[in-house]
Amino acid sequence: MISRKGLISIIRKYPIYTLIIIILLTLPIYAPSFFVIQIAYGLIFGITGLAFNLLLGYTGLLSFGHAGFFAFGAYMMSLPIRHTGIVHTLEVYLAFAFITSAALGALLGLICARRTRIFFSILNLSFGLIIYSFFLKFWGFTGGADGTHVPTPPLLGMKFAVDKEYWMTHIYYYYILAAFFICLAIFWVIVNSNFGKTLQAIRDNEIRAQFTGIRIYRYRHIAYIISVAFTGLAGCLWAPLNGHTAPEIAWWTYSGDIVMLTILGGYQYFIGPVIGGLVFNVFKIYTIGYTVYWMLLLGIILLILIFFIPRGLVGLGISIYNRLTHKKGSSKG
Amino acid sequence: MILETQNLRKYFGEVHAVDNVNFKVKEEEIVAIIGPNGAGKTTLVNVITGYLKPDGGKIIFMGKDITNASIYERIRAGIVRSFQLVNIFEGLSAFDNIRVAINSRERKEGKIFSLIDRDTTVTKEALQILDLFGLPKDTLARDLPHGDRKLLDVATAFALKPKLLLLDEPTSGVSTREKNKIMDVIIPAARKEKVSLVVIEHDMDIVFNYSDRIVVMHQGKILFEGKPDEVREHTEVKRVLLVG
Repeated sequence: MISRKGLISIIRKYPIYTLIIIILLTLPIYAPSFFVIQIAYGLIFGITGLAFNLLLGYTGLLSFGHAGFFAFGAYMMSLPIRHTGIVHTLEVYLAFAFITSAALGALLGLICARRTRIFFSILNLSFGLIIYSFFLKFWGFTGGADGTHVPTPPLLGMKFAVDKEYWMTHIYYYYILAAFFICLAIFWVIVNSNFGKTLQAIRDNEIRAQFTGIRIYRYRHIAYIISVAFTGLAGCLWAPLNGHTAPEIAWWTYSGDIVMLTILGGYQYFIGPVIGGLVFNVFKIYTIGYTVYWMLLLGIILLILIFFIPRGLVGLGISIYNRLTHKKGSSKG
Repeated sequence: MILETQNLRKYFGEVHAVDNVNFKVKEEEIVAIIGPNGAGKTTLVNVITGYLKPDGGKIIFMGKDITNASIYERIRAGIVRSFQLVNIFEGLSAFDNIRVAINSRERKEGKIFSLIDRDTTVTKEALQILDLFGLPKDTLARDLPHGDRKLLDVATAFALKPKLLLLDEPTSGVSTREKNKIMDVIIPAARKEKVSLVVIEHDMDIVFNYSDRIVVMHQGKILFEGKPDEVREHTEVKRVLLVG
């Protein structure tokens, strides 16, 4: 357990993160339901971004197929329900989605982990499209373009006798928040582990890594499995929130969204995809409400980011923070 | 004998880059390979380290035939190399470059739930290596001056605790003063760790000052080998090195 003194020191060291955590914890108390739901979606996209960024930021592999893996995870909840008619507690589906996604990652990784750059990207795009086609065309099994309904599942074995809105904005919101913090902690450990450094070494110099005795394909493969497994897990968390799974979530433009949110937040930073996930979703939803040209706006913002703030929102925040603290220092003399 | 090649061959079409080479390295020996451009020096190192597959012949390392061994198996056996162009992990600090190598040597590189900062044994050893090579701890590899980048490349190889270290032009692209500085770090470190060293080098001052034995290559073959004084006096070697 962290002592009171330790907690105060953490708060002082990371005031912005502390503020974000407090906001996330208290959000359902004061924020409108719609906004709380959007943040819940944002947290799920944050998990997706973390999983995606294990490949992009830490292994140097850009995937254009992660929407396929996200959809795969979502369908791993909706399909068993569709075919058995039984609704188990959500943890059963989370475990099932995680294991099957890991198996999918292990299978596809046999091919993908041996490719880099454009070949890796296009291979993933192709696999994503195959997954999309499968969910779209095998309508008897998947529900086709109509998709599949996802009922509200029990959480931790408990059924809640509340209306859907309250369930989403309070009960499921905190469930997602807890899952998000667990995933965040797991990814933090992974990127700061021996394995995480090995991935960064492979990213920086494949030949040197090979001549340092690192089995590059093996570790790329493991990173790929982890990334696909957690993306699938995020998809499974998303399914009850959305209440419905349809093939379009596997469509390549959604893979583009995952790339965008990661760049928006800043792929060089651990927390970048999380901030990107939250901001991207809120921005997207609210601009859709205001204008049909929301994609144009998003495109312009991304162009600004790439040309002027290549380190993303987190990089921008750090620059501003450093400049402010520098000014403070200089005023002190 | 720690390394022995028997009639080693590597051809690129009509070019006989390595042509029936019988190359030997004794334990704890420092051997320099010299020769004009295109003599086959780097190809020989590439074949010995597994970067290229030979077209014929054998490579015997510590009594074992490693001709068909993978790069990974050769490294585990103790054959480590550096490259002509600096090959380091640019986005990592000098400290992390060394830690990655130590982790690999100790087969800890794949531990997912083992925080790298918590491993005090690796940290301590990495700091000792940085100290031995006079490298800064936290500077990103990409931000180091060229001479230090060269040193980091060699230091990373040293961290693997090789039995045989092959250095391809460890002083290329640095000033004469820095060349000596680099060699003054590498040679005592190799002697201290009892590492056999094979150095490809163009700078004759470095070659004659630091090696125990010199192997002269020309057109894919070994033209002559001997002690620095013997090489210096050899008429054919002089002609080849001057004419190219």
